[in-house]
Amino acid sequence: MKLDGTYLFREKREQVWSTLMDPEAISGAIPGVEEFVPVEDEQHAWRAIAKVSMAAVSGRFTGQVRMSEIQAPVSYRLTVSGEGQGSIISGNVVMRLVERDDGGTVLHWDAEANISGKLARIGQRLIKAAANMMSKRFFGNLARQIREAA
Amino acid sequence: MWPAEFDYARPSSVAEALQLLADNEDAKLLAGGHSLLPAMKLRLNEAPLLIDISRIEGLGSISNNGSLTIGALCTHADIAASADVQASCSALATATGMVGDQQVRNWGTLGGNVAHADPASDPPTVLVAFNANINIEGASGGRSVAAADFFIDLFTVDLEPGEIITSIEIPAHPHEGCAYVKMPHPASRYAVVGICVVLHKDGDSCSGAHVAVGGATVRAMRSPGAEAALRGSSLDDAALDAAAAALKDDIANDLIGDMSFPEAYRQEMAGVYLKRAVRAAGG
Repeated sequence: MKLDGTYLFREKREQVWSTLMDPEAISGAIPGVEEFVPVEDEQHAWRAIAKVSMAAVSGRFTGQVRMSEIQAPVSYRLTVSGEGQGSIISGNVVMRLVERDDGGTVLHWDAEANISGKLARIGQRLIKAAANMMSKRFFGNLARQIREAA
Repeated sequence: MWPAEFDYARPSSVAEALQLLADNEDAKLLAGGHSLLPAMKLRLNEAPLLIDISRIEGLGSISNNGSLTIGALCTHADIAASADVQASCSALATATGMVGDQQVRNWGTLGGNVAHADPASDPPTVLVAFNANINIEGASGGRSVAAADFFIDLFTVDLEPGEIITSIEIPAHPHEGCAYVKMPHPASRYAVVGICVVLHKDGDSCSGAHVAVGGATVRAMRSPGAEAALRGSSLDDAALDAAAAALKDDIANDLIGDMSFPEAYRQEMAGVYLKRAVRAAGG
């Protein structure tokens, strides 16, 4: 499924970019994150554990987060893959920064998310709304950090 | 379909239950269990401890002294059959009578229902329309939250991990008619769209209306646009068309959809069911 959104910042593009490239900011934006450690011998890749709790579902997901196609200070792709609860989630999002005439910056994000396994079978009627809410939480957290870093 | 092993505690008071919650991270409250237990059997939740609050006294009755107070442990069947509820908030009797099937209604509780906050469930829509308050106890005392603020997002409510819902209060709200109507999912009977309308009339004209929508949206929510369109109208077809259009605008950013019933379809049906709800409420 495809999801997207836009955030507007007063900060300059370089400033927004440096937060977007900061592993601590990415880690801090993942809902329920418990662990976020660099993968050995690899740049821009981390092992992550997140506790997800929604409706009566509660459990830990383990997976990897990777940055690629980095084109400073304009865009990169963030790829997430994880498993837990007998399910596999994968997704990737391209974040793009556009400078505004007033000195501010627009962040556009375009994501594609896939969920398969037990959660997808049982939660089919709500999987899209849940993915949407999680993405909004992630970018909401990221946006807050960008504003705080300014 | 066996759950993972868990511990079990059965406190006899709210204070005792709160203490157990404070001492045991990841513990879950068990009331009717009709959302929690299926998830545990599917191993989507492996709570190490269930705190069974179902036998705590004083949380299972309905009283009416001006406002209607419904204990958190009242089952959907209790509420649907209550003469007090039928008299002062008949739409809630209708909605609780539509939840799941008879077995679910006999066990599922209103407190559990609102804590779970399934967007396709029926009672929250009525509670939002009637400005109900959710009464909550926690370690630092009690608080009360308006239903419209309580339901924040999909399965997300204003309730902290250490808190317990004790009752749901519906303030006195004299009205000339109210109704809850829904488009049930053909297989699950969950609301694809659910609408609650409360009407105030002055002769043939509408002096005010509350409109709430659920099922189509991530949470139960009011529609100020539809309410404004109905207010002061004679509830003719033109007014209903305007209200339906305003409702569709109000929910545009909060729609949910799936393969069978996409967002745009639910948005359209919300307008259709609003008109049916107004007519069912006597408009």
